[in-house]
Amino acid sequence: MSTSSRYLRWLVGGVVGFSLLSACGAPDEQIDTADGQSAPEATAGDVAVSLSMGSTALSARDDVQVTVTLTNVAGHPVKLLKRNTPVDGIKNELFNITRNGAAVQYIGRHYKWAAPEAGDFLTLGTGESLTRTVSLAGAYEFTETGSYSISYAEEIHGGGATQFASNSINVWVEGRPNVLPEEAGEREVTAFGLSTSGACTSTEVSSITTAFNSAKTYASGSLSYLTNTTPSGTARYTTWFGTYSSTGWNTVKSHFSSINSAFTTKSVVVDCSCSDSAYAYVYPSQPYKIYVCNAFWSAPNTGTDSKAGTLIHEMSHFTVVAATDDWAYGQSACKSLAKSSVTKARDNADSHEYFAENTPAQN
Amino acid sequence: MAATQGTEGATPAAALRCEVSAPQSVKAGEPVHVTFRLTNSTAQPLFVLTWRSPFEGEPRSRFLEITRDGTEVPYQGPMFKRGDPEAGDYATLAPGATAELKIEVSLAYDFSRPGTYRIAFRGPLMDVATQQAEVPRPLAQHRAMPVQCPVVETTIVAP
Ligand SMILES: [Zn+2]
Repeated sequence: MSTSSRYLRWLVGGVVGFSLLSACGAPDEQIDTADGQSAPEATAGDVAVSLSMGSTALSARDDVQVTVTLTNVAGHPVKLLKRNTPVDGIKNELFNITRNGAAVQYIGRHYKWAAPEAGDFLTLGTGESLTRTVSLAGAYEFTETGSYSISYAEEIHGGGATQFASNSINVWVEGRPNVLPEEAGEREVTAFGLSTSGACTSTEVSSITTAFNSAKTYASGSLSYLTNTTPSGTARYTTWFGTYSSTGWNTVKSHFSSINSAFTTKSVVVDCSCSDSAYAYVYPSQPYKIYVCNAFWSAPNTGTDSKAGTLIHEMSHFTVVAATDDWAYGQSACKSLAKSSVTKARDNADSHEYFAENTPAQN
Repeated sequence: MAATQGTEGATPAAALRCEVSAPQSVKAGEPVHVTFRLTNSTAQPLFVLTWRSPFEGEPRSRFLEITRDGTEVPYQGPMFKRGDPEAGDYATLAPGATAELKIEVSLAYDFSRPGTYRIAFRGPLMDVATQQAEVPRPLAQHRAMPVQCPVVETTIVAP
């Protein structure tokens, strides 16, 4: 690694503002905010859309969530009208949905849109992707049980010019009462925000998306363990955080509460431009951008030192999340740290990762 | 490996002597440099893992504790999740040799406000070996070494 400050240039001469969706080729590349104005609006074929769902059959108790990834395949930056994307949730008739071949009613909000201004657009850099998981339950009618086919709207109803072709996914949905958009709306806007930057390939976007969903499972699983287990010196707790105390347990619980809410309610950006041998890095004062590096790509999705665990590690570093440090790396050093200093163990990112991964499993 | 452990076990805590210097005062807005001088006071070469130490050359971890008039100054540089190190992650210090490491701390900490800044490196070094053949070695085999560096002060004055 050269001694030039490629990771630190941003502090020199003032902090560079970060825009979630601006083109960003490398961590030290200053974001060109003029891009948003200069990039042409996406036309047919410029943006590839892929849809995925975690399940092929949903009971009435399951939310109908679809993960949408928009990738700029134009070979140059393009701009998109935000309301024609799920960046802020479903604010338009974004999907074509049929049940047993018949069109399904859009019940989401209808906005009266003014003529778009510069701020109504987002820019996708060359090769850049935007991923959002959104709930369809408040936007489309799922009152009837049946086989539903979902694709992205090729043309936004109401005269939108942008064309998006996507794959079509089939899912069996058990009928349920309509959710009022007012109830579902708030969650659509904020929840499940994941986007990527730094020229991730489509394969990388897909493994980041899988890892992100597994990290959410780790975060909620850790929080529910710390909430539902009677606080005591359990094997899982003491291995990573040392001798039990109620203060210690509550501190770790509050950390996982913050980690969990960051994963479920914040816009997270995962950047692929790093080529360091490390797993990943973050700037603790710049939530929620995570730079993934070489070791990340060869890691398994879950388990010890996995992709999902790395995202837990990095999320814990942000000052507004758990403000952890890196006192020790690796399972062996983390176990020693738990024995030598409970305070440092509770302040150590890898200790949180290993607690969340819980591999091999302990109670 | 057992012989190595014996050697390291016998190594006194002051195997690495540490001196630190910083300018007495710096005008606000100008870069702040802190210089660490680490001397191998043993008769063997030392192979030092650079992570979380002045050997990183530029702040790439929160290895320093910095306060302004007693208040913690937050670290704003990058923080890495590391796996097993590579050969290039170790610095070599010959017997009696001194490494002089000048760190531009203002790259990762806000020194723009006037006041008295205290800068401390409390160690330890994450992994130190005495045989070249032993490094790089996996995380599970790392042997930390304490190091005592004096705390330095620098005053930031209004320009
Ligand atoms: Zn870390």
